Parts: sequence; structure tokens; C-alpha cells
Amino acid sequence: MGAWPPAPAGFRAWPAPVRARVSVLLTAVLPPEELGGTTDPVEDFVGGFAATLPPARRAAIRFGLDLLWLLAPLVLLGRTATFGGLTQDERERLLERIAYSKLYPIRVLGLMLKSFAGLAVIGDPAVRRGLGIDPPTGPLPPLGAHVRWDEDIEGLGR
Amino acid sequence: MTEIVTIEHVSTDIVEDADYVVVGSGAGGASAAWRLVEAGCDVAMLEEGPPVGLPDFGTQMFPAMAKMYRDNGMEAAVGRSMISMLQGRVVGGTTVVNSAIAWRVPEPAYERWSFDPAVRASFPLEDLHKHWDVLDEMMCVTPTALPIAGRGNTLPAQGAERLGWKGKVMNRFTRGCLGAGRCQQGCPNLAKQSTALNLIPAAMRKGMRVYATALVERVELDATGRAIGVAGRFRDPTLRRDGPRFRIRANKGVVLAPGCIQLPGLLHASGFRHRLLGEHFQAHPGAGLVPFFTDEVKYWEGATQGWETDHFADEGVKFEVVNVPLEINAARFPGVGRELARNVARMSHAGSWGVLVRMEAEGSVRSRPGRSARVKFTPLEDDMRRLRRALHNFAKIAVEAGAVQVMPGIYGLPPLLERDEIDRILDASLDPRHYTMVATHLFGTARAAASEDAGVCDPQFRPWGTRNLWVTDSSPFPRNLGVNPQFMIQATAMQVAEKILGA
Repeated sequence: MGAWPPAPAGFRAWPAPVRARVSVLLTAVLPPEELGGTTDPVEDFVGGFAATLPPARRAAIRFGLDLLWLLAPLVLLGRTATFGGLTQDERERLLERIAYSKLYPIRVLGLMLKSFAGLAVIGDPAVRRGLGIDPPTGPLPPLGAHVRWDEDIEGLGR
Repeated sequence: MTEIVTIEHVSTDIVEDADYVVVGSGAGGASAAWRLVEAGCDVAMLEEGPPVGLPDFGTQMFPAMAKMYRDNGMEAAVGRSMISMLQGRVVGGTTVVNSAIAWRVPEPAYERWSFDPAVRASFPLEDLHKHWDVLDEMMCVTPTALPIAGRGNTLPAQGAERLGWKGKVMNRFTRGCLGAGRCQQGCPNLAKQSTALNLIPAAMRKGMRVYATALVERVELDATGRAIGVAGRFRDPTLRRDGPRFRIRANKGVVLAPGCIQLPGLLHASGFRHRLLGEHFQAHPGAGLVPFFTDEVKYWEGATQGWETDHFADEGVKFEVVNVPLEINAARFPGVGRELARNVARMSHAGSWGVLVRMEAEGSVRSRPGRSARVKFTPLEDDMRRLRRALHNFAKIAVEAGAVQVMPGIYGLPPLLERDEIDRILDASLDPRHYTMVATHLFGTARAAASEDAGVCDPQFRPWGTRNLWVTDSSPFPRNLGVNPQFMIQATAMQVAEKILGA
């Protein structure tokens, strides 16, 4: 079983290179290996996350993340490299400038990155075990699948 | 009992009849529907979200957000700052993902809420208490038991007691709560009594039909303003796949409870016009405070929300334990990268507390069925002053409870304050952009008033100028409450249902 319910089959989401880039961003924000996790579940999360976003929001988030990937190193660190070309120290310095920026919209972007990273990394069962949280007890249904709720609640002694 | 009909069960357009059509299956819709069915009416209920059950109620927050929350949990009110809003979008509505807190509105709050004498006459407090008595039984209102409270709830109780501030364990809609601490992901023990576990099945046993993943696009009003049915289409809300269309004719009337963010768009799409539609939006925005203790707390072990104090109710603030899922809380911890990971690793020593403010500010909502809403809201300076003072008071409780550090979550202050530094909170900026706020209690947008000039709905929660159309969510509420609103929404919905039956 993977860390996440599988993204719905045949549903269009971000292509693999975009998922990989977003994954690099999120693991820089909250490195899973520091908490006993790995990067693979983060990439899985990104796929499922993108699949469930409304198209306009998916496009807006991708646009914002692309800008961050391509331009933030130059604007915030004066480095002519993409985010992927930075060392982990440089990535953290850049992300810190975003998270603690004096400009509110930039700070909100930092908060959103931390939120997505939290969902991705702390949602990983391996990390949850490391933090002392119980793992899921069984496989989750695919996103978009519906269950027969009336069967679930029958016979509970109400 | 009939089965819930979803997009997966229908392949062609459907047209059906009912006495009453109820739009929305949360607190307001389910309570009104149940009362109508109990009186022998034929009711069809429509819910935009999917039915969910145990297999959906995992430990992780993201699948829950994707499946059970409106806009994946990313809905926000935007003004000078951005305030997250959380609403459920499943059969059972927000009652499936809230913390099941039951509050009989205290008299002072009721007096304030019902400032319009005509509204007060429609909803006398003694009538509301009668409905609460019924719901107490149906929804199993139970005080949080100490054995399942967990340290996350008992620590602030101890701190408040040392300060001489009155607090109490929360009354919640629970049957056999085991303190799983996962209300917001859906209760894994089915102990939380959402409307999907009691009112809706009870009504279905008596013949109510439920259509889920059914997006109502408009209420059909005839030339005289009489509601004669609803129309829309089945839509998978997670994947946004459209299905067949539906039309449900209502022989006696339509009851709307889609939530106060969705209602303006639905009424507007139905041809209803009123200059105040979408205005007077109010909320109880809140902010969190994270205290750190020497010993482990493991706040996720125990009731999600089990202790509260309304000691400062006169100031319009309420303190609550709110065990925010760790994935969400992590974003509020200081630092990025390895520093953030080090702070997250301390999470087992943290508490997760919050303050709610009955803000006087009013905003506005523009929405369309099936689309994200545009919500504008900016707290007033006095709202922020009360929020800041409340955070300081909660920090005092933390210190009395033995916290060694407090994370105030206010930009411009150090991310972590030592015990002797908490007074610095009082020097924090009142700029709402310096706070991370969340609003879960939403009101207004179709305010009831004694005259058509002053409100969208009449004092019996009927949109002015319409017939056989009622609203039973928090949209017609004249004001916000200052306490958790689910019980009030349910009681007013049942009162509206009584009036429908009486008519």
C-alpha cells in the first residue's frame, strides 16, 4: 500500500516533470528524511493533490510555483539558477525570505508552501509513526470512489 | 430503507416529485427534513457532496480535505488579510467534519442575536429549548468524559482553574466517543453523531429520498414567486465530472440549507434579486496558540475538542482546545527546512489551542452554484484588539498550566515566547495580516428582518417576495452568536419546519 490513496485513473494532472519539481520544493520546505520519511510519498501526494484541484486553481498554483522555481533564486538571492540548482542551505535561505517576507502576499505564499509540505510529509505513514501517531489501519479507497454509507452504519447498536 | 442515489447510480436525466425538496444535508437541511418526514411529508433531499463512511475516515488529512471539504479545504475570505474557511461538503455537511460541539445559546447571546423583535417572536427562546430537548436525545448530546479527554484538554483546564477563570468540558454530539482525536477527518469509531448517522437515516427509514453528488443549480420559481421545484445536475464533486440532469418538482415547497456561502449564488441563479443578498456576512474568526510543555502532551490523543471557557463571553471571545491535525499545524511552526523539521519533531510536547472572536465586522459573498465563492471580509480594529487580548489571556492559561514556551503565531513577534515574555503579545500589531486566522462559523448573507428594506428574508426565514420557499441554514441569522452555532441552526430549522407544517 502506498502512502496515499491512488490518484484517479485517466484523470489529467500535472506531468511527471512538474510533479518532480513541486516535490523538490515541498521537501525543501519540510525535509522528510529529518522525520524518518522519504521523498517518494511526497511526489505521490503532489499527483493526487493536483488531480483534485479545480482546473483554474490548478493552473494558478502551477503558475505561482513555476515563478518561484525560475525567478525566486534571482530575485531573492541574486543567483542565476533555478530552485533545483540551489544547495539545500540556499533553498532554505530563500524559503525563509519568503516565509518571513514583509510583503503579505509573499508571506501567504510561504504559508501555503508550508501547508502543502505539512500535508505531504506528515501524511506519510512512516513520518507519522516517527512522530508517535498511529498509522492508518487499512487501505483507503481511491479518491472519487463512493462507499455504501448505509451499510457502514447499520448494526452499530443505535 | 432506500439507498442514497449518486452520480454512479444514474445514467439518464431524472424528473421526480415530492411534497418538499430540501437542498443541503447538514445541520439545517437534515433537521428540517427530519421534522417534515416525522409529520408524514414526502421529502426529497439533495446534497452536492458524496456520501461517506468508515473507509473514508482515515488518519491523513489530505484525503479528507479532497473528499469531504468544500474547495479541498482551501476556501478563504479575502479582505485586508486572508482568512481560511472550512465547510464540509458531504452527506451530513459540516457535521461530519466538525468537532460536534453542542451549545444551547445562552440568554445574553440570544438577546443579542434576536435584536429584531419580529425575529424574536418567530423564534422564542422557550421554543428553541423544546427543539434542543428533542435534539439532545436524537443527537446524543454528552459532556466530554475525562478518560477520553487527553492531556491536550486537561492542561488548559488546570491552568484556567489556577487563574480562577471558569471553564467547562464541552457538550458534544457523541455516542461512545473513544477520544480518537480525528473529528476533522471523520470519526473512525462513528461515535460522533453527525446528521448522516441519525437524522438522515431516521428520515430515510420513513421514506425520505436522498440524492447525493447532486448540484442544485436553481430553484424554480413561477411568475408569482412560488417555489415549484429545483433543477441541477449530478456532478462528481471531487473529480468534477458531470453526469445526468435532474428536476425535482416540489408540490408544497422548497427548503434551502446549502450554507450561507452558497445560498446567495443559488438564489441569484434562480432569478431572486435583493440588494442585500450576500451582504451582512459575519463569522467567528479565530487564531491558534501553541504552548510547549516539558512533558509529552500528544494532543492528538483524546477528544478533538473537549474543553472550553466562555469566561470572557462579555468581550465576545471564547477559548477552546482545538486539536488541529498535525499536517495542518505544522505550517504554523517556526522555520523552514531542517529548522521546521526540528520544531515539528517537538510536536508531541505541544498543545493546540484557539480563540474564537465574535467579530463585529461584516463582509459580503458572491457565489455561483458549483463554483468557488468570492468572500470579502476584513476584521475591524476592535475585533483584532479583542483577538490579541484573548491570545494573551490564553497564553496566561498556558503559563499557569506549566508551559515553558508559547508560540503566539503573530508576525512581528518572536516565533516562540518564553514564560516571562508573554506580555509582548499585548504590544503586537493589530494588522490582520499579522495573524493566521481561520473561520468555521459563518452567518448572514440573507439576513432576516421585519421589513423587506432591511433584510433578504422575512422573520420566518422566507425570502421576501417568494412563496413556499424557506431557508434553514445560518444565512438568515440576524447576527453571529458568539458560541458554536450547530445547535442553534438545528433548532431554528426545526422551528421553521413547524411553521411550514402549521401553514
